[in-house]
Amino acid sequence: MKVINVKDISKTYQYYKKQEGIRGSLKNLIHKEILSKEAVRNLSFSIEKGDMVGFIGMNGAGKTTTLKMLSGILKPTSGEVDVLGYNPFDKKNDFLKRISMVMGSRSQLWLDIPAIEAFALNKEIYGIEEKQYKDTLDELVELLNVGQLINTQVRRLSLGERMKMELILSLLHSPEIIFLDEPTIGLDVVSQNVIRKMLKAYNQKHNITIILTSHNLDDIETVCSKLMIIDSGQLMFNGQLEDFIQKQTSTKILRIKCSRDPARIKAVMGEHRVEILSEDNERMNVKVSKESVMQLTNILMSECMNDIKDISIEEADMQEIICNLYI
Amino acid sequence: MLRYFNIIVKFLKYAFIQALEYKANFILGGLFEFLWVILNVIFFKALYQNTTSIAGWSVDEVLLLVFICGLVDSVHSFFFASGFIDIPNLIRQGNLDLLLLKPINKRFFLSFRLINVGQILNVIFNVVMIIIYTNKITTNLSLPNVLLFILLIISALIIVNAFYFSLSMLAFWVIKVNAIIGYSQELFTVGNKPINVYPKMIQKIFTYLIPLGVAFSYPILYLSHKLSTSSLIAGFAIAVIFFALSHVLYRRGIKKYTSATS
Repeated sequence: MKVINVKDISKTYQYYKKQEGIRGSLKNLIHKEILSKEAVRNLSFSIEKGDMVGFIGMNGAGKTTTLKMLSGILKPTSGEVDVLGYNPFDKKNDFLKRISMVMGSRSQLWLDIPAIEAFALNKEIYGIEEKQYKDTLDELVELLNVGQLINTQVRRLSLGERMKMELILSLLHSPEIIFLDEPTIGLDVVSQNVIRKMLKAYNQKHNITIILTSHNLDDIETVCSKLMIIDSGQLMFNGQLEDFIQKQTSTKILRIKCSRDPARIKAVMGEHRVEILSEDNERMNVKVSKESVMQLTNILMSECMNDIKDISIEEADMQEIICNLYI
Repeated sequence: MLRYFNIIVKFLKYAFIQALEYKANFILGGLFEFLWVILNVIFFKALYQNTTSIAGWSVDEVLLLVFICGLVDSVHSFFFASGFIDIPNLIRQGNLDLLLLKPINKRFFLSFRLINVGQILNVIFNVVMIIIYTNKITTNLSLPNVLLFILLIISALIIVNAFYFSLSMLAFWVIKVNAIIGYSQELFTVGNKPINVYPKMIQKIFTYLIPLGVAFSYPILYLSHKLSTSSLIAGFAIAVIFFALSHVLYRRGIKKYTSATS
């Protein structure tokens, strides 16, 4: 079942050209040159119920703008958006009760007050039944392992703990779709992992649709099954994450630990088309085409047996794939 | 309705928790407004040493005016002022985004978000003084009279609310409006004087353009039987119109925000 259907949406901002210096500012008072920027261009896609979609792109690519149009904060300049059968921008209460949004750089918590109080406020705002509220809260507290922290003043919580509270706050009303805009920004690795695991578990149990933007590709790799890549406001890829990795990677990485001077290994490899990514006396990372990786490994194993301590074949990582895509 | 009441109770609770956290702020919070009322009382008492009537107003009527102005100011500060002052920050820092997604009346939410409990003593003080001075001016008030008098004070609150809400809405067009809001406090200084002392032209301004004259002077004029029925109706109408105008401004501001920001 499709829960999000987007047809040809664009978003154009207008802004003023700011001129330099005091003279420029005075000039601006009299005459402002209006410029416009197309943040999103003719975007079309649809998302199924329960999908976990990673939405990536460079800064200013249009990710956040798209999320804001999907949630109803911003009105598209043109095109049609249908989310759960509603036009998001109408911001009907029935619609708002079925979605949620978390922004990594913005908080909905009250600094001087424990998070539990903010949860209780959302209970009133969303009209959540007492039993449902208690059950959901218990479940989320357990999933994120935050226990007593919900009774601690928010200002005394770490950044990671605060983000966990933001997540609880945004899931209390059991939304069907949640938009997450860089939820792991600035967090330590452990917190990132807890949040990723929690999102996955919550999706599996409640079939919630998750749309997540992140610059941290680990987020996307661990949480998402689908991928959308946006660049300069346009979709560059839209499909299964696996397909993307398969399609984009024609190479694999061979990691070799050497037991002595790697000169001989290098000599053997020299006969094949490889690219040495990094090397020192103890280890080498080599990029090899998918087709020849097995053959090369075999040759190395038989001819340089004594020079090699360990050897492994790995997929090129997302980071690299994405970088290649943009270059 | 119950839901909205519960939400106000929650906001009150948060305000109390915060007040206890910052005790000095809590104690000092209402002191300024209290002193302001007291200084005005001293000023008018001194002025009336030399005369019994200014522009037809007795000393008790003028003091009642000071207390009504004080009550409206303190109720406004109690519920709305902090929230309104914060609106430009919400816009600038983008926190308005998430607020727009709450399934609730946004104007209500923006208005009651930040309650200033430090004002509670001022509210009580002014209410008590209003009761005392109302009894000094007139002794045989019927129930409908009392209700109309209260209604006039409520419409004063609506006018003040709409006025300050409109000012904070300017933040959608001009990002830094805190200074404007700050200066506009001066309007209270003008508004808490009997409207009749001003020249005709200025009276018109304080009736139709910045209706603080309507807000503060009308309740007393009504008690003293100096307010015609048509003025009474006009007073209520002005409150409704001002509230509606502030809502138009609010709608436009939100519209600009959602179509222009990134």
